Amino acid sequence: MSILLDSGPKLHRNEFRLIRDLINRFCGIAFQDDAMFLVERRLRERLTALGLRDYSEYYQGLRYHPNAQNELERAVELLTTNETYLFREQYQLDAFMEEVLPGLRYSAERRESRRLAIWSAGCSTGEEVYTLAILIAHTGLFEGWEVRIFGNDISRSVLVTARRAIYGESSFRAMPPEYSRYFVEVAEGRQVHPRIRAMCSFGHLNLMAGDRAAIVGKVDAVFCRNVLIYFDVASRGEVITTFYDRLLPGGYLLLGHSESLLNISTAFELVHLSSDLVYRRPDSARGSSKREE
Amino acid sequence: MIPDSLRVALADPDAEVRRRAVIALEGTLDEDTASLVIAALGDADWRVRKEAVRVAATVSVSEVLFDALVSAITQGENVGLRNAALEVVGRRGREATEPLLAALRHSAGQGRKFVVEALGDTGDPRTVPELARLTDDADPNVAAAAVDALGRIGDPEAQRALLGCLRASDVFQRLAALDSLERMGAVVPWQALEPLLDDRVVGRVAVPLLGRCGDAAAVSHLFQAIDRPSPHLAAGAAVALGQLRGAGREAADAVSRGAAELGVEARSVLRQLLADADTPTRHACAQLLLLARDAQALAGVVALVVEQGLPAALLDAFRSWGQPAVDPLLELHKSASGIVRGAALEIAADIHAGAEQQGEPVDPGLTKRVHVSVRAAMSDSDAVVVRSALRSLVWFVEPEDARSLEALLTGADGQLAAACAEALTALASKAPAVVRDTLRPTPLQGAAGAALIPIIVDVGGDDVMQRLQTALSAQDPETRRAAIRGLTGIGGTPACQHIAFALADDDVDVQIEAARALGELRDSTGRSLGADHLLLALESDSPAVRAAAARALGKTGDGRAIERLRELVREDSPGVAVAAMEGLRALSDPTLGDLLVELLGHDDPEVVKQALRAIRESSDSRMAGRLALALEHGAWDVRCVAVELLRDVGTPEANRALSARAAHETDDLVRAAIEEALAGGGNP
Repeated sequence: MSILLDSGPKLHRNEFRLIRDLINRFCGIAFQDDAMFLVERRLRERLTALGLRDYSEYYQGLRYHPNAQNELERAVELLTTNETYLFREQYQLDAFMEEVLPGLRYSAERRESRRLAIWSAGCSTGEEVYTLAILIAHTGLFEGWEVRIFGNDISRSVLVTARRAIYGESSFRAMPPEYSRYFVEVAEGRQVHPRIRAMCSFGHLNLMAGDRAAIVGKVDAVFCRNVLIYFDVASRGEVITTFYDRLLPGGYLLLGHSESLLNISTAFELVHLSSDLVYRRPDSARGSSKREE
Repeated sequence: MIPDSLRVALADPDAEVRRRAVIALEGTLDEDTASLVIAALGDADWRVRKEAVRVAATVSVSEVLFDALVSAITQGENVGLRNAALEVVGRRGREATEPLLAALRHSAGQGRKFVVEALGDTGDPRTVPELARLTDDADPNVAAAAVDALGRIGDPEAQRALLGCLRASDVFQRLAALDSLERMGAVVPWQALEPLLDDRVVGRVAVPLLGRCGDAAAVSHLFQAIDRPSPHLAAGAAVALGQLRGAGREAADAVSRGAAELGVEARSVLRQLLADADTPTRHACAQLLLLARDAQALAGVVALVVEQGLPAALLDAFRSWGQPAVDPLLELHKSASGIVRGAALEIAADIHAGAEQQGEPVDPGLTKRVHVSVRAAMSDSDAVVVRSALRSLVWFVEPEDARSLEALLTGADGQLAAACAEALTALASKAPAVVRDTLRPTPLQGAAGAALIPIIVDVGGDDVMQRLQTALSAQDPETRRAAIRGLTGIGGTPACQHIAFALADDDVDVQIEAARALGELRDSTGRSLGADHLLLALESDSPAVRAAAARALGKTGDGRAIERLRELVREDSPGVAVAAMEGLRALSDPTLGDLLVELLGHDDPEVVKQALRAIRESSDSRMAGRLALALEHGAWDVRCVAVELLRDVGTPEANRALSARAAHETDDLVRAAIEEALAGGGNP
């Protein structure tokens, strides 16, 4: 198919709405009307691969085919961009390392626990998971503890990349040089050090499948950065409720710099750190709910 | 009755305790205790306030509650309380109109302004006359709030009032009116905008409206805006110019002329926006830079195409540049990396081929450069570039390319195989014997197998049937499915027998493909060859195969299927029910009537839609009435189909039903369909 002379099946507005709503119900991702062209373009290869004439047939397949769930996942993979890199949004990572981690250590010790669990929700190709693991190792605060960083994504193909843990140069564009020692050179790029990889695990999980999220267990912090932007308000509410349920009291929720819980949830309190604003599940035992604007 | 413990909790120093207490108020609130939720609206903690807003917005209507809300809006001390009360009013909408209009009569100063704001939050068109009157209020703050509120109402009467405000003597009033008109998406005629543009500040605010005015006269003002030292203004102007370019020939020509005259600074600003801005702005800047034939922008434009695809406006801008764009694109192909490198080559080849097809004189040197670049890229180390080269080769592929293409197929993945197949298909139309001989030893398996089978069938040969039979046993289901499609193309009883075996394949998609194919096969008299096999396939364990067989039986015209299909319509699996309905419609089952009415109540909208289509095809005198029932269906897509069918019926009864629905239809797509149907007067 030529780039300029684009002659494949056309997506009609009704079909777009049906497919869009189906994807929204499946995983909470919401496409605005102006995404119709993008959806047409990116899903067209699926029509070709499946030998379908038009998007109506594709919709029927997404509804009734025995492998409909897998096809929905493929569609979501094609429609969402997964580009990310290591040490993204350094100011937030600084806040995590310097203020959140010491706080989590204190809370765990008060519970007489030596376990730290972090959830990277919508982890894409794994850069955030490994970044967090490296930071935790680098602080030395949790030596000898049971540390686990769990990353999930709805796309199975990005999880394959995440588990390989090999990244090209563009993934390192924001990484301060002192962290180079956590990587080893391999033929295809740089691979995360086995010691760091041992702290990390990955799983296939749809954030909208609330009950299934129980497999994550209780966690001390949730990172969900630049994921909720794809969701509509109602789905964001459901996902945030899942995070709340998974977090231990006093646990932190870290969102992307342009994301907030305004008009989504009041269940979390806002915490002002020196270089970032983060959310925290209230811990009544700590009596921490000072009056915050 | 609110328990004392809850009252205590609402005053607790811990915000989390107060928040939970507010949640607990929900469902217990009555007129006597409405004051508690009002108090919570003024809590110092945002989480408590937000929770109170939610509770206050959902409790049953209470006069006391509204009085308290109005007091909260008009008071001057607690900003948090006022904002929360405004939010509640916004959520309650029309219910709040009367109390607010009453409050307007006896409030003064700042309080009056806040009530006007709240009227806008109601979104109630009944407030328009009062708000329009207030745009002339002696208090400029009240007048400005009224303009803003009219913008939030967004109704045609509100728009008319705002257009009147554009003639106000007060510049702030004009600015506020422009802003409101912009937010409500109004189309303001050029004649109303032109007098405002002498004022530089007002002119800036008018930019988005200029884009919607559709008048070529607005173009020069927008290009001036790009020249000003504000990237934000330039972005708005670029988007507006993009909209104007789509508004008719005269405006499009004016935009093209203006783009050609863009200065160095303006081009630089647009290039920066092309790299950094949001997607609509990037598309608009790309369009202008292509019209300006700006070679420096090509890398950014191609990157945008790769990332977002190519909308029609951008394609048209590429074409308007035409052949002179080819060399800069080939340069970009040499200097860029990865997917941009490939896309630059592909676009260059497309433009060049387009010029040749249009009969334009083409420089032979340019043709040679394109051909050499494409053939060189076929052995590039980057698979993305190789695929682009193969898609480009389609335009000028020659018999001597056949061996290279065949060699690339060895071990190719699906995408590479598909690109090779495109080039081979093009070659087959020129030199079928060359393709036949070249592909004779190529094994039909894996990605290459599936991609090559249509070509092998197309070029023919005495070994085709045997090769397809072998391909039916290939390891990968994709090749087996392609073989079925190939056999369908050949047709005849032997092909039918081979395909029928595939109904027992272990892969469900192969079985579905076989069922589809069996529905299409005919003997020389036009009689179905596959109906007997399909009747058996209706008993498959797999709902997807039963569905495929039901659809295919519809195509056979074999009436023996009707009875079984009627049973399948009532199956639990909606996919089977939909397919069985399709089959019955195709077979023109004469006894569908009562079943169709029953199916209008089916849980799955797809089944209901099929039933509606079958009702339309019936000769039942109650047809229009039955279709009209579906206008009240909960699913928008069912209503859309009902509208289309009623439009097709076109009787007065059908039009009456559409008009009645138009009065309360809330879905934009369905509304548009109804308006179109009524404007068209139905089917003559």
